[in-house]
Amino acid sequence: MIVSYNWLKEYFVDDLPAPTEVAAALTKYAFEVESLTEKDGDTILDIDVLPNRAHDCLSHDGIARELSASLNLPLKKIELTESVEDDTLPTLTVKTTDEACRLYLGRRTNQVTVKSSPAWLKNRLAVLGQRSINTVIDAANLTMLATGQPLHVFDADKVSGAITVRRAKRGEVVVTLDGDEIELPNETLVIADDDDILAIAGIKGGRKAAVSLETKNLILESANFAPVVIRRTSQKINLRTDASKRFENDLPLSSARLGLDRLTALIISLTEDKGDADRPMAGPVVEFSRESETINKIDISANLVSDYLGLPLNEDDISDILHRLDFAFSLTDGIFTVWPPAERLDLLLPADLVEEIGRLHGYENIPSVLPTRTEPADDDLMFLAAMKVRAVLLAENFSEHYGYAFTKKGELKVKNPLAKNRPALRLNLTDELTEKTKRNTEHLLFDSEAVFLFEIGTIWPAGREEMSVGLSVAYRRPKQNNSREIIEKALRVLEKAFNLKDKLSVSELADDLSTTVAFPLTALVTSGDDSPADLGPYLKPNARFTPIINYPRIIRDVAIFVPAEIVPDKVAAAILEPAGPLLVHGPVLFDDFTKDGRRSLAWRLVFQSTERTLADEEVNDIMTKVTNHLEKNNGWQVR
Amino acid sequence: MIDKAEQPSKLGHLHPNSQIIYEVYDLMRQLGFSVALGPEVETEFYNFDALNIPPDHPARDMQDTFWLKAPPGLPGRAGPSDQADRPDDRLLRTHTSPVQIRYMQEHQPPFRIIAPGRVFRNEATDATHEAQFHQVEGLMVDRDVSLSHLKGTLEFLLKGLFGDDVRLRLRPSFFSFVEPGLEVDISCFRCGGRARPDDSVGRARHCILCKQTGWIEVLGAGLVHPNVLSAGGLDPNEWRGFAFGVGVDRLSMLRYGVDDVRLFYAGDIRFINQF
Repeated sequence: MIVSYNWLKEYFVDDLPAPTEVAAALTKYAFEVESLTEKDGDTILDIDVLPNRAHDCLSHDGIARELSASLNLPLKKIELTESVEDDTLPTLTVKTTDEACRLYLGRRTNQVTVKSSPAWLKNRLAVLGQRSINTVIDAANLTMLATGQPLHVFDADKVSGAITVRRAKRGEVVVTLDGDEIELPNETLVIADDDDILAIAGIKGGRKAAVSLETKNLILESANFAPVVIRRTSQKINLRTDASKRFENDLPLSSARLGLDRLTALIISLTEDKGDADRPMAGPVVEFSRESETINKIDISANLVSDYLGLPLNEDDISDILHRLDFAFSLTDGIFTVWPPAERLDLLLPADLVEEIGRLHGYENIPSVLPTRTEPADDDLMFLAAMKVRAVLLAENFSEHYGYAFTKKGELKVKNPLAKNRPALRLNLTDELTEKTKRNTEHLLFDSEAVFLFEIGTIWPAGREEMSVGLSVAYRRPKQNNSREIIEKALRVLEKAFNLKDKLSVSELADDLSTTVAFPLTALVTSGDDSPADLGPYLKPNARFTPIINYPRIIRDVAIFVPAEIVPDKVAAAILEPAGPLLVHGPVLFDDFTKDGRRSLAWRLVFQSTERTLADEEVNDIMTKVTNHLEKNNGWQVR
Repeated sequence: MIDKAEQPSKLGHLHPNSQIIYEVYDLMRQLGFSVALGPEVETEFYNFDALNIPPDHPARDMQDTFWLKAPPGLPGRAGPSDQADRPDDRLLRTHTSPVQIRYMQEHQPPFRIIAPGRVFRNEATDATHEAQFHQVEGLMVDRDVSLSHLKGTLEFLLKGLFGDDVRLRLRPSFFSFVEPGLEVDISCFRCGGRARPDDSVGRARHCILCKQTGWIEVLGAGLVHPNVLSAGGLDPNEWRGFAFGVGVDRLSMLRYGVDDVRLFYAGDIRFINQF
C-alpha cells in the first residue's frame, strides 16, 4: 500500500512526527514500512499491510487509524459537506438476485460539470502513482484510496433501463475503459443495463457508460461482492486492479456506505460550477442488501491477557490501549467486553484482542523467559538414523548432496509442474546422484581422485513415500575406477556401525566410471540405538562462501630437478611468485623422487580467471616465466 | 603450505543445510525439544484446513502449491466448485507446519518438538527462490505457555546460532495458524547495524545483509491459534502453545554468505567442499 505522508497529516489534530518516525512507529506497532521515497514535496510510504488487515488498511483511513493507535495521537472527525440530497430526483432501479452481490448501493446525481481536476487533486493522485482523468473519475479513485472502498461511476444518460447485477452468458464481451475487448468467462459477475454489460463487477469498468467531459448525470455505485468470485474472475481474465485487490480481501459491508457518502460529497464539491444556477444534487440511495452486518463482541479478562503475554498488565493498561484503538468496551468485575469497530472483521476471539493489546503495549516490553528445562522426549528414529548415517559416511570421505524431488518419470505426478520435463516425483536417488557424481569429476585435479557423494532423501517408488540413502563414487578414467571397492567398504562400515547382522540389501547402478547404491533408511532404523550421533566435528560455522568460477580452467604441470638438499617448500614458493594471481590452485606436488643426487619434483598448477576465458598463449607465457624464474637458481633444471 | 596430490582431506563435507539443522537440533535439545517428522506429500487438511487457512485463501492457488494428480483408478474428490479441477487433495507440503497437527493428534501435551524438513512452493526459481527448500518448525504446548516463553526460546536459539551479541526484534505479523503472530528480526551481525547510507565518518555505507536497516528478518512465530489446537484435538481452554518456523536455506545463506539458493541443490563439489 502506497501512502502519502502529506495526506496522513490531514487526518490528525496535532502535527505528525517526521516521516522516518512515522515509519518506525508503524513498523513497530502495526505494519512494516518497506521504503520511504521523496516525491514532489511529499514522502511516500510503501507499507506492507498484513493479509488479515487488507480489508481495512488498504486505505489512508486505515493507516491513519493504525498510526493514531500507535502514537496515541487523536484523529480529526471527518465532516461531510452539508446535505446534498434531493429526494425529488428519480431513484435508481437495481435488479439482482445473485448471492455474490452481497450489497449494492446506488444513487443518481444530476447537473454535474465534468472538468479537468484541480491541481491539488492531480498532485495527490500523481504522488500515489495514479493518472488524473477528470473530476468524477478522480473523485472515485481518491475516495477508494481514502476509504479502501472501490467505487464506480457511470454516465446515467448512456445507461438504458435498470442496473442489473448478473452473471455473464457464454460468449458475452465487454470493452473496458482502456479499450480492451474481453470475452468474459461463463458465470462472470457483471453490472449490466437492459442491453449491454457496463462493467466487470468489482474489477473494471466498461466503455459503454464511461464518464466523459460531456457527461451531465451520473450513477454512483458502491457495492460489496463475494471475494472468491472476484478473485476467480480476476485470475481467469488475468486482470488485477486496485478494485479487485480490495474486494478479494473481503471488505466490510460498512465501508460501502461510507465510501458512497464520501464520494457523493467530493463529486458535488468538485463538479459544482459556481456560475450555474442549477447546483448538482444527489438522489436518494437505493440499497440492495443480501447480508447484514454482524456485531461481534469479545469478553476477556486482564488476567488472561497477562497470561498469554507473560507480562502482568492491569486494567488501566488495557483500558488505555483499547481507548487508543477507539474500541467500544465495558469493564465489569474484571471482564472486558469489547465491541470491535465494524471494519475490524479480523477480531473474533480473545486471542485476537491479546494481539492488539500486546503489539500496542510493545513487544519489546515482553520479558524473555526460558521455559523450565525438561528432558526431551525421544527423537524420531528416522531422524536419529539419518544423523548417524551422516556421521559414518562423512568419516568415509563422502560429502552430502541435496537432490531435487522432481524428475522426468515417476508414479506420482504434479498437476502443475514448474518445469515441463520434470513433472513427477522421483522414484530413486540413484539416477540423479550418479549423474551429479560423474559430472563433478571434471573438477578433479588427478585421474587417481574420485568424487564421493551421498544423499539422504525422500523418494516415491510405487506411489509410496520413503526415505532413502544413496552413495555414489565416480572416477574420470575407467582404468582408475575403484568405485565398487570404496562403496563396498562404506556399506560394511555402515553395517558395523548399526550392528546389522546381515548385509544391507541395496539397489545398484554402475558403469565403467562409477558405482551408486541406495537402500531404504528403515533398514537401519530397527537396529539403531537412540543416542544422537555427534556431527560437531563437521560443522564449519565460520565458513565463508566464495563464488564458484564458471570460466574454464587450464591445467599445467611443471617438473624440475633440484639439488637433493632443496626442500619442496622452497620450490613451491619459487613457482608461486612468477605464477601470479591467475594461479587459483596449486602448485600441487604429485611426484617426488631422488636419483643420482638430484631430487625430481612434479607439480600441477590450475589457472583460471574470474572474469574471462583464459587463452592458452597467456598461460604459456606464465609458464615460461615460471621456468625462467626457477632456472635462475643454481642447479635447478626444468625437465 | 604444499597441497598433496592424495585426497586432501579424509573427511567429507556436511551440507550447509544439514549443519544448520544440526545446530538448531543441538540447541533446542537443551531446552527439552525433540525431533518429529512428517511426510512431504501431504493432504489439503493437514497443510491448510487444520492450520486455519480458509478454503479460498490465495496460498492454496495453483501458483503457490504443487498439487498432485490422482493416481489412475482413484476417483476424483467431490469438492467445492472452485476446486473441481483438483481430482485429489494431495499436495507437496508448503511448510513444515502440518507436523504440528500430526503430532498434536498423536500425543498428549505437554510437549516440545522441532520438525525439520523439505517444503515446496510453486514459484519461478531465481537466486532467492527455489521450488524446494527447508524449514524447521518449532512447537511447544503446555498449560501456561506465553509470549515471553516464545521470546526466551527464540533468543536462546538465535544467540546460539548467530552469537551472543545479536539482539531480537519482534514485530506484528500475520500467519493464520498463530495469534498473536510475529515476525522476528535479529540485529545485523555483519555490520552490527552500523552501516548508514549517509555516513561520512568511515563506517560502511552499505550492508548486503540488512540493507542499512540494522535488522535481518529471520523467522515467523506466534502463539498457536485456538482453531489449530482444536484441529489437533486439543482443548484451547486447557492448552496453549507457541510455534515458530524458520527457513533453513535462508539461515544458511545469511550464515555462510551464499548468494544463490539454487547452489544448495546443484550438487556441485566446488560448492559443497567449501563447508
